[in-house]
Amino acid sequence: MISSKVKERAGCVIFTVAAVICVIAVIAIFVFMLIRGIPALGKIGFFDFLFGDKWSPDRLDTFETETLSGSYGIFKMIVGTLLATVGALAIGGTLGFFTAVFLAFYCPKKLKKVFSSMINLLAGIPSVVYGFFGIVFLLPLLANFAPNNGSGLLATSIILGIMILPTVVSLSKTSLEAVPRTYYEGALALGASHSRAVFGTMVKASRSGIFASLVLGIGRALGETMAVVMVAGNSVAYPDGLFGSFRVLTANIVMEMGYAGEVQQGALVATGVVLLFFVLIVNLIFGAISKRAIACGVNGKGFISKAFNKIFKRKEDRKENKQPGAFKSKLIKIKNKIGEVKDGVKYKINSSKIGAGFAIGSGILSASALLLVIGFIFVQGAPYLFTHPNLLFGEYQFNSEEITILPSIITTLMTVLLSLVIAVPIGICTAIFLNEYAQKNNIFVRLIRGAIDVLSGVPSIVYGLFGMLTFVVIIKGTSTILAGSLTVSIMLLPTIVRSTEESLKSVMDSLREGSLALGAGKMRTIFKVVLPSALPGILSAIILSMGRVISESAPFIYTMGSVISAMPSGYLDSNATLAVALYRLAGEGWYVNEAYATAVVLIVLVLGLNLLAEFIAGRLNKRLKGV
Amino acid sequence: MKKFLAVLLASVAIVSMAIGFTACGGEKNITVVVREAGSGTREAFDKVVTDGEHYLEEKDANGQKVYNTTDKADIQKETGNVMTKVANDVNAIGYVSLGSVNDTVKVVRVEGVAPSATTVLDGSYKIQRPFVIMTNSDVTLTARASDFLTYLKSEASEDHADETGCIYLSDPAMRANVGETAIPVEDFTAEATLPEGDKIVINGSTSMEKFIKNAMEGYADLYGTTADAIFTLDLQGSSVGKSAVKNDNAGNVIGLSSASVAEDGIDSFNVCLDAVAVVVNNNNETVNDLTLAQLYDIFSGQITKFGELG
Amino acid sequence: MKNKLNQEYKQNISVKDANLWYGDFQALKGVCMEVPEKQVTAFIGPSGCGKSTFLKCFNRMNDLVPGCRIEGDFKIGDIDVYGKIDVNELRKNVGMVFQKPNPFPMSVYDNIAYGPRTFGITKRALLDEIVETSLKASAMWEELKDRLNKSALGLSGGQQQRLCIARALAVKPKILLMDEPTSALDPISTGKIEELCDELKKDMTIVIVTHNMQQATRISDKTGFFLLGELIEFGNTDDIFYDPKDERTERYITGRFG
Repeated sequence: MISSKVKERAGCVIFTVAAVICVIAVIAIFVFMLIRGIPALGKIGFFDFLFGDKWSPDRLDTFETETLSGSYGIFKMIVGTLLATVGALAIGGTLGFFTAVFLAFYCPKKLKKVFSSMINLLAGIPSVVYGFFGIVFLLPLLANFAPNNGSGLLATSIILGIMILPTVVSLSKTSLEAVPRTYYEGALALGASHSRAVFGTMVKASRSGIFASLVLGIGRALGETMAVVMVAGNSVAYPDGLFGSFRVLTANIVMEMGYAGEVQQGALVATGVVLLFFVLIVNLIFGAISKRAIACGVNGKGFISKAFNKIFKRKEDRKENKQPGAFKSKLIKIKNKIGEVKDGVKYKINSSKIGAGFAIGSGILSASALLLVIGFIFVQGAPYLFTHPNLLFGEYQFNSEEITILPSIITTLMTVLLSLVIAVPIGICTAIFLNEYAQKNNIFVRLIRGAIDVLSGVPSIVYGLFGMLTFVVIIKGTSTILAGSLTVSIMLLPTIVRSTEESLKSVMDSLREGSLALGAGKMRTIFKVVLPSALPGILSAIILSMGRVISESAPFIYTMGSVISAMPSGYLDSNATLAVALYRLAGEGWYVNEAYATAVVLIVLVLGLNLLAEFIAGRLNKRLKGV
Repeated sequence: MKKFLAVLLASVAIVSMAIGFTACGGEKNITVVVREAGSGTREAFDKVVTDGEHYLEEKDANGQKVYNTTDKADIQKETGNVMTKVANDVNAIGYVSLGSVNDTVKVVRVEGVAPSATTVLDGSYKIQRPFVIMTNSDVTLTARASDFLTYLKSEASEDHADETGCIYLSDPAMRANVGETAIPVEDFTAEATLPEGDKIVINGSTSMEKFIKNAMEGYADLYGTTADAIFTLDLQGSSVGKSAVKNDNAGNVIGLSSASVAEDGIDSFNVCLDAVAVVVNNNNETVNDLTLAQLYDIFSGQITKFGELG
Repeated sequence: MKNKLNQEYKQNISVKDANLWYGDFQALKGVCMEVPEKQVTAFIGPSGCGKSTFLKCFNRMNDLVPGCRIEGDFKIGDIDVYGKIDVNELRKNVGMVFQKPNPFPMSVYDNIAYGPRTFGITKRALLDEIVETSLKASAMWEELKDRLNKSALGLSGGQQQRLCIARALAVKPKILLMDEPTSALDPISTGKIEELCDELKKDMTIVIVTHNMQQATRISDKTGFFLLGELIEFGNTDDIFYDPKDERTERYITGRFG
């Protein structure tokens, strides 16, 4: 008994420590970025940096130079980043939300599984593949309507929109499905149609989850680097219409870091700091909004439902807002009065029908986007893979014209392994702390939640910068697989924490009560009852994380190495992961076929992982349900 | 199920048909594809291209850096991305390292001169830059690192340069920065066994990747081993390479830079020259030869259509 | 620590002047009650009257509710429920069955063995024996003896609820709390559980919350009527139902309000 008391204490301590680590990670990121960014800010001038619209860096500027010859103003890039994010959200957010509704409530059962795993797959496709897809597919398409080659704001928004799709869809879908079925049945019993029950009841009930998915989507759009670099044009300019060349903040960092001079490097780190503050602001705004949403929900006046009503009733609003001229106003008023009663009833029914149409349309659109990207890559890459088995199994030589990616595959697996070993326990423990131990409005708990929100929004390139400034310097001075793995494991934390917390939340309280009522302690309840029930959800979080490690490239380039190299002999070697290898191959231009083949390998890998996860989760669920 | 498949197929078909459309109507604007500021390739290009009055990269009366490249330019990070852009866009123009050019793009003559070893060495092809090898001057190199450095300074480099499209420098004066002591070509004979030392860390410019990989394999061959047993290769850019060299305590870091280096604490020598080739799409039949002034007009956005070149 | 563990839990409950708040809302107002040992005591009253809340005070399940504040004396025998005791030990001695069956997502066997294992019993033979006695005590052995390794979630609602009772019995509680245990079940399953109560009260004290007044008359010896957080009347079941002292009790049991 005494030992069980000790266990309880120890457990509580471990969970708390894990949560504290998340906070420390955030603080460390800010501190290190500030330490490196502030001197440059001081040299350039805070105002000139933030609001200067001229970016013409001089490689030779150092902190010793009396007056800088270069100009370092990022205002145009701030504007570009905001526009691209809004564009991505408009396309990917809407499409994603409706696709999630489609998947949860309109999709034929047989298709649903295929759809869901395809969307998970989409999350696994490296951003550099999207970028490449953008160059060879989307840009030529847009060029038909554009004054230029099609690159610019529209292309960026579309590519980013597709990229945030899986995030928005899978999270929204999860929260939609977590709404008790009885709500739906209750709505039907009141005479609501299927669509009305879906949009009036289910969507409303899951709004916090949907919001969370949108926040994550924004985070992903804000932080996306590689794909944007390839389609945005990257001129430091205000986007001139839908097709003007512009540059986002992340692109600035990744493009110029490698060849940057001293002050320029500082300015790039400071750019990262600005990105961080963006993320912070987005989090704060959304925190406030979703808090309001929840608060309003209690009073039965959901913020989201208001938003939805606004969307669906836009027509009506417009009618009202038009403020017709004095002559006609009377006439219209009378007309409106006649139509009022009718409209009121008719429109409510129609709005949900429109919603249903949107949902089904979005489902189809997302599906075709997915098929297009995946099909395109397979058609381009798969045949090459079969005719050139050496790509996979050849022996590596530095000067060989024949590329082999076996070392990269091994490197990727090593990275996945190490980063999961670090991130999964910390992430799960933090989630347990938050869901099982924390009191809701404790300041410390809010701090942790805030930290995780911030972490989830931190752009991957900023993680890369952070890793470059810390792990790389501490470990060996040059990039190593260890440094890359550490960097990416911090990046995985928010995903794991959030998904685990969601699945812990979905475990019914009655199970916890049942266990406690039998005299079991908290630890025993968590490990024997709660965690096993949440296991399928946690597993899928881990799989998603694997996919993220495999498909990320930005955090690795400056921490782990970017050259496809010989077989790594340990964690202290530097090498390129598959995605980085793909970026290099695609970037080098003369290995296009190899690049596509590598992309195919990547996708097959992620697909395999997903199938495996589904299989395991299926088995677990069966075991749990005893069917 | 069938309905869905039908709709999917239809939408795919529509999209692909739309792609099948080629642009019709008036002549399109030129897509100017350039590298990012700080890149050695861009610096070499921007400091040479001029309309007689301004350069693409210059300093104004106040000593402030000015880039005159057009706002409409498409800026790409990697050589390969520039090539891909140009290869996929009939209205594009860009510049890449000569060693990277392949048959997916067409090389344009500058002032009537095509880039080649002869035209670069005699200076008639203007847009060129050195490939530089860097070491830390305050630290004693390991036996192995200094052996490899000697190898790079020897005539062995000539083969590697030739094989990778670079132009080997044999003139000791040209191997050093302007105004510095000349750096002669050294003799290299392989030791009986591989000299002692940790793995040599190579870090720096991505433009030099082909050259250095070739040299690494050549060196390893001499000792009958594989390059990965001797080297760790990591290319993230000239300035990353430079800071790796500056932070070198063990004497085993060799840095690569694609722009000349004149800094305290760093020993450097120019191992070869690289021409920056101006490239256009293979289907571009109108543009074959451009003057520096025309290049300036195009890259600064004063001319937006190839038809205006006259 | 040790001596506290050895404290014997008696089977009678005595409550004096219990007050309970959820935040600012007072859910229990000055409740006093003596629950006799080895009898069935039923709590009746309209929804939200505080009867379940009161029940959950006996095994301190209200501790889980944030913002819950409790005053008053709760004693089982001479042990102060809200004193310095091991809550897990308390809950072992005061078992609970919930409104909705809540079997764990594991096999029937593991469900029942969960409690004993919690208290350190690991020997297979001993566990086998406990599982068998518990299932027999809840009259399920014949139904389930061939399905011990199947998941408990595959059972019917009634079976699940009786399994939960068996699970509670496996730790040999002195007192069993039942929170509307039959409200989600069909009449046949309900009947079985009521029979079970009769059987179980030979060994333990049972406190049951119910909405079903016939059920209260059928199975309970004592009945307490709650209204708006107050215990209006408490006494022998027959007295409460056939000769209520309070007008409000009468109105409730005759179905005129609530």
